[in-house]
Amino acid sequence: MLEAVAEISAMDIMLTPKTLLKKAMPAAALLVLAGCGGGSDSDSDLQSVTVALSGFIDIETGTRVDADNADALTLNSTPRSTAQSLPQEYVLAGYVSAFDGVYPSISGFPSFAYSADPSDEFSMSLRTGQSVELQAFGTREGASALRLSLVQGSSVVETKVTDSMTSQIRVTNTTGSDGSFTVRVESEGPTPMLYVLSTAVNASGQAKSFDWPAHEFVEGEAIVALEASPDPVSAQAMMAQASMLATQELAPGLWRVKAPVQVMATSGQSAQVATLDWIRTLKQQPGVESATPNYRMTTMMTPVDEPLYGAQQWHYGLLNGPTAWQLAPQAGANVTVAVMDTGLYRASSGDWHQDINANVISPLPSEASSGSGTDFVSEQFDNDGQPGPDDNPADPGNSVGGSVYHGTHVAGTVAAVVNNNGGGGVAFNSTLLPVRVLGDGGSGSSADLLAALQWVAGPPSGQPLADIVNLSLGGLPFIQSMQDAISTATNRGVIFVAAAGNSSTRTESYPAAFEDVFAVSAVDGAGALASYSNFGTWVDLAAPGGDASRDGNGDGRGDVVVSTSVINGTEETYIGLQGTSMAAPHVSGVLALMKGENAALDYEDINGFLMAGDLTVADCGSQNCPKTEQFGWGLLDASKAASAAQATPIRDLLTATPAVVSLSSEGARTANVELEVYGDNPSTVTINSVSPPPAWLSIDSAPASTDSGTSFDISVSLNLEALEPGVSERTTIEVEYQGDSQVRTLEIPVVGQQVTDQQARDAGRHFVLLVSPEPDGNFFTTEAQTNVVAENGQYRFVFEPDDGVPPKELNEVSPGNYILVAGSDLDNDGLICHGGEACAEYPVAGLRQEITISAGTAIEGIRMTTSYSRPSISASSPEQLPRPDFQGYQLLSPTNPDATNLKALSQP
Amino acid sequence: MTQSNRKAVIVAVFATVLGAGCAVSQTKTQTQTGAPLARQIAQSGHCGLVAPGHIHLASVADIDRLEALPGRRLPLASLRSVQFGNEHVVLAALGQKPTGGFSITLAGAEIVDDELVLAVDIQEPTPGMMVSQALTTPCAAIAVTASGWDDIRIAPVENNR
Repeated sequence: MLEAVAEISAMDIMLTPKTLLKKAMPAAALLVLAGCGGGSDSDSDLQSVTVALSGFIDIETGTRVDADNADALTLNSTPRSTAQSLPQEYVLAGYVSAFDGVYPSISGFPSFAYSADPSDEFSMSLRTGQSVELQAFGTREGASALRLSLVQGSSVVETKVTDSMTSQIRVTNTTGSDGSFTVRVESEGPTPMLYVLSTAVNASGQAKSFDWPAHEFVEGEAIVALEASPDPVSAQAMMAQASMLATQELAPGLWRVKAPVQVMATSGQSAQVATLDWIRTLKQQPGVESATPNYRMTTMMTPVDEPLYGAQQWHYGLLNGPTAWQLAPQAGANVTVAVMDTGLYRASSGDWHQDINANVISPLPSEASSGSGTDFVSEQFDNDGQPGPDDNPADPGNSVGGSVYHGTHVAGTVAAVVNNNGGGGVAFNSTLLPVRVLGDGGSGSSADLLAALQWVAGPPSGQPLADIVNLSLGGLPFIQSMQDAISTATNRGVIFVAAAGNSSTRTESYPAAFEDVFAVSAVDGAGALASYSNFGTWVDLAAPGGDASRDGNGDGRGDVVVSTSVINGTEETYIGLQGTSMAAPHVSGVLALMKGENAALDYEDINGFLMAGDLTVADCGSQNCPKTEQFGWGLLDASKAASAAQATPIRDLLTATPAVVSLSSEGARTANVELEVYGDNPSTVTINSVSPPPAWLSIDSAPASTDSGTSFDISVSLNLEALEPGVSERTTIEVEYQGDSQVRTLEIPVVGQQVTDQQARDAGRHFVLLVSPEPDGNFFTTEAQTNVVAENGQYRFVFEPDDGVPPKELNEVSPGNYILVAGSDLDNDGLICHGGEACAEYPVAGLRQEITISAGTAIEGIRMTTSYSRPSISASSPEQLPRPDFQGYQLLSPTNPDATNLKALSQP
Repeated sequence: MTQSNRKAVIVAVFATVLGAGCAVSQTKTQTQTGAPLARQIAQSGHCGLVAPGHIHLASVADIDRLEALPGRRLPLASLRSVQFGNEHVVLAALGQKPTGGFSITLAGAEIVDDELVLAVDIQEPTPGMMVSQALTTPCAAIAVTASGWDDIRIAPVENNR
């Protein structure tokens, strides 16, 4: 009953009229709720909640703000005297006024003043024919004309003036050449004015195809497609007459063939040239449709080479994946990882998600072969249309297509295939064994899990069905029979990994807290414990699980783990999720890497490495590493783990830091890459060559051929003029080197972009408001307020719960129903979100959700986007848009009448 | 753990909540044409609505705006298929939850004194239930009659399963 009341509180009673939002909480309903009494009994509720509501406001691409708008002038009263620099493509909101003044008063609302700022100047580059557009917005004082001028040097290229009929004007670079210009905006009348200035945005935001280096191929081999599909005997006979030795029919009519020995021996050329010459002759043979080299997927192809790696899969870099994949080139081959979860997405064709299909075990263990099928979900939790356990571990999603396919996401982190598509898994050559134990809505029974655990240990006279078992599930109490099943399987060589849970509590969550199970907590992009992650002495180690409420890695996005999934029921894709569910498969994948290098490793071996600091980011020398409640023995380090697994330590492996170089026009334009031989006792390597860069990249310094040592540096810089704005380019620097035993090649992916700098996005100081859902007259009543400035291209805001201690701070909020909005007040009239000012509404502009804030419950991770633009007005939206009477949201003001800045500042 | 052991959440008996302060109530349980007042058209555990509450969608343009919602996995096709001349859509959101096992579904609807009351069944995992460990944002998409009411109220109901 206690939990039930918490849920009532969360939902509360909400009202929404069709045309206007009305009263939030009827008194009668409150009385009913109050009668239920009680509260939640979870640990987190016992903790002091210092956040009522928090989140981020993203800023639309290219957004800039006039540095001396009226709001800014309240803080620094001197208008800017120099031109403000702008990128080539932008949208900027600004303010000009010929005079100082005071806005007309609104009943019950303080009067606000505005400062004189007669003109604004901006400097920018413009291509020939490129235009700058201005849209004018009046203020509460009325509307005046604005003059827009394009100036080059001392010459005015073009000038335009708004009037009562034309609020939108543009000036164009008609000089016939690209160049640097000054754009001037001047007030032509007595009233303050707002404006939005913009250039046409380049629509070409899509990345071009990546230019990958040519693949290697197997000498003396080819893949041959025959024009017909004769029976194998006839085909082999035909190929024998055409200087081919058939070795394998890959598909009907498609053969892998070898060159006869005499062809290769008598050519007098290198084996590669001889192979290519031979393949050319094959193409001339009758009956041969095509002949291609048997391209070799080199061991260097790792998840680093996948499209998602540089852009979104921060979690692999955090655990030193690139070095690990060099150290463990088997990438988990011949290691079976059972993913006990919701099953895997299976298309109507019978294939699994295309990015894991090749790694899913085939055939699946069946009841006939293993004593049970791989779907253990009992009837009461089952939703796959075949109630009860069976042989098909396919995840049915749900009937309305809203599932995210939890098991598919987890499996992708373990073993998505490296194939130039999407992303790769940690152990991208390992074998996935899907085992379905979670049914409807991601819930299931302990009995079903117990049966699966007993099954995976294998029959008494046989072998276990998996080497590693990933359990991205939890919430169970201690169950002796389940502990016994896990211990039995562990004794047979199975290694278990489980999610520690997402309740921000130290209370043990099983199966993670069982003996012989590695319990994994979750960290964000900065390696800090995720806000939701469980912790405690029972946690063994931490791994990336993401935290959407944070941007720990500073990439401008909330930290989520991106992996394989499905949307709209059948659309195979990749999505970001957060949770210890996402952390556990990183550990399972790394253990698969280790087992791929050393199949004999078992739980005791791994646990020994862990306690010695050999699997985590820890440097404890000869001392035992300390164990913490948050991270256990530490944050997972895949490179150390892969090294620890080597029977013979590799001492001549060159690694790059950073593993991927990202350069951009408004980020870093140069980078230094440190090359170091990996390990505590590295041996010397000799550089053979460094590949030449494309035109958009310069290698400013690099080791010369024959240079020897254990560390080197490569410096690179971006050639912006060779990049198309808005388009990403990608290349790979290949460093070939000679170690103790063999020639190796280190690949360093480099991404170059001439992009709008996200870090520079700024829509001006933002006021974040919680307003009453029902307007009072022409305005919504503001109940709480905080103000924020842009940092790294976004705003972060926090409202605190009302502690009941007077005075009530402006950013303190009481339980109730609210609408969340934010915006700038560029004309300093005490109202935000009217025309010419930035505005954000939760969840999206034009759609206001009535949200419920409850006592003792923090709402975190709110995200919305601010913009000068407004939702388009459509004939199909007659009730919500336009808002003809909407004048903006009112700011709260301090009660102190002596305050010089009437706008309240809720934070120091 | 069985489904029948799932924690039942609440009975909001409409008469209890609404009748207390109302001397005379006018109650309707169907439209003038005899159609149900509301029907559930979609649900998802990952709607992207981090805060608990509801959204009223009165047009296809409103549905289009949901495209911009970060983290949304709720398929919009079924929402767009609503004939907005006859029906609107209400998204009822539970807010962000720590695990799987949470859901919200429509249990019933009636109009009481110009207020459309949507009774919803909220499922959440009971202590000790095994659930997936990814954060979720469950919601239900409910098509409601477009006329005959001024306000909406979401009322959790207890189920006795």
